[in-house]
Amino acid sequence: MKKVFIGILIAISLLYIFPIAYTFTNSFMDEKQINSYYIETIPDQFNLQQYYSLALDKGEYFKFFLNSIKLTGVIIIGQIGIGIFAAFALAKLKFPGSNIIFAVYVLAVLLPFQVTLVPNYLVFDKLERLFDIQLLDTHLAIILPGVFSSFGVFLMRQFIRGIPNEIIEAARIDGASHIAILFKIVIPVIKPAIYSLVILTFIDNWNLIEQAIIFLDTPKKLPLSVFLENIYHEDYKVFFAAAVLYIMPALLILIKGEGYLKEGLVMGGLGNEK
Amino acid sequence: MFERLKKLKISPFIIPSLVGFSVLYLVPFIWGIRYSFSRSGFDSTFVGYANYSEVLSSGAFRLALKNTGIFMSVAIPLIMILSFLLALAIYELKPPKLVYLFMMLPIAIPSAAAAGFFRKIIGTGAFSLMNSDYAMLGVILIFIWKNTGYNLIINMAGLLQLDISVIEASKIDGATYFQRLRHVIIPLCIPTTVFAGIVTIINSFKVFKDVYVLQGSYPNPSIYMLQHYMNNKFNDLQYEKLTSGAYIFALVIFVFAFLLFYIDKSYSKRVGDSI
Repeated sequence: MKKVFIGILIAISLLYIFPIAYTFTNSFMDEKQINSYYIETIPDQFNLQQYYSLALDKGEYFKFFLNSIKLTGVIIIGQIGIGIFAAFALAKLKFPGSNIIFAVYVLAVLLPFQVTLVPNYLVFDKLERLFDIQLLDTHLAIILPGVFSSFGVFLMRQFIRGIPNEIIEAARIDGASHIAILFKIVIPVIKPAIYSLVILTFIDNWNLIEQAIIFLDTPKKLPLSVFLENIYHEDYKVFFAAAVLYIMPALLILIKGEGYLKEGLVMGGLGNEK
Repeated sequence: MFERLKKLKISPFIIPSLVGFSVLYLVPFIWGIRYSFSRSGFDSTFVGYANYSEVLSSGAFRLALKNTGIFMSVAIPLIMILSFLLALAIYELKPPKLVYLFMMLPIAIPSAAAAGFFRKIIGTGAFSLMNSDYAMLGVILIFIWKNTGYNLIINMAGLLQLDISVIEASKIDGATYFQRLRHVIIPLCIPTTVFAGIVTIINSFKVFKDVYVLQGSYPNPSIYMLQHYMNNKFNDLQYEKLTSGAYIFALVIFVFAFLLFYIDKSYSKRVGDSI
């Protein structure tokens, strides 16, 4: 009986992996086979043609790849670099209004892009009209809201709260400044949370679509998350290789950091208040 | 400046984040309320709630609201039940580690990359699922495929932190597996389930990405959702419609969220009282 259930579980897990496996195997097929009417899963003959023509004829693909790396990288570094200070202040340096600020940050986490992009847009538009500062149709229009999105603060704050106050008090009595406490005690302790935040933010921003289609007009500034669609329509013969290369960074980060994600997502959400 | 902050007792640590957040989100969000009551972005004549009623009575908005409602009320319970059962099965049966990993990997796959497969299976041709009246079914399938991983992580963590001694005690008392499930395991998993629910709601709006890569700004009417409505309002640049739409959308979400928090709070209180 137990074996039957395990068999069913394995079958379900194969359904989950199938779309990914399909994309990978199709990247090793020739043009004729990917255009076949049937659902082809195994290459007739193993063939790297798609990767060759992507590298040799479609150099611009890598420009879009770089756009994605730039947007994702800067947002992750900025969100953590700025957010960690705020998270520390909200978790351990009680000040008037800190609870209200935290509550507003949490509410902002709940809102979908189609809502939060509205205030973002109003600011960019105002800046352009009043001060002639052009942010629309630049990468900054995506980076700035990403950096100041409250998700990172929320997650790190939950973790920092779990650090016993006695440790922080002890360090303070020994004469450590807030900065020293943050760097010598807090950051080393919440490393798992930071790793899981990196993974979650990477997955989310590697697939950013809403911001790009609303804020960017110039095609060459698009990230791969949007541009891959053009490859599908215009260069179907290299689409699967392009998709596989695009999937790889996110997939590798997830596989490598899966353990942290468990810790980060759950502890962050449920809090480990002491 | 720091002296002043000290007087206000606001930590300088929060300042960079708070300034950025206020400038980009909070202040314009509040400032925008003005637009939602004005004739247009350029004409600030007060028109009362005319914009709201216009948005609420427009055919596109109603269609979007209806479809979003259908999607959320079907997809969210479905994925939560499915992932709880999958997590329970993995917890009890301990299948090979790959089973768990395979169910989780789809969360990393960008929408545009997965679109190659989904087009082939359900997306192309006049008679395909995505072009039929049942396209919502396809959207729900894609959503479940992509988001089971997040729910699985949370549900697994909930199960793994169960107190073994409580389960052992119920075994000694002679409870059957289903009695144990109903009276011990499920009640103890409520907090993680509520959290999984919040994460699921947040993620449910991201299904727009998948629908957008498959069908663009104007999809099959049966899967035209609030996100499409808002997205298209950006193109028209009608501030008054854009802002009033955003506030209605936000209000619905906040009501949902408060309801969930309330259930969680009142439930934990009840459990707390009975122990």
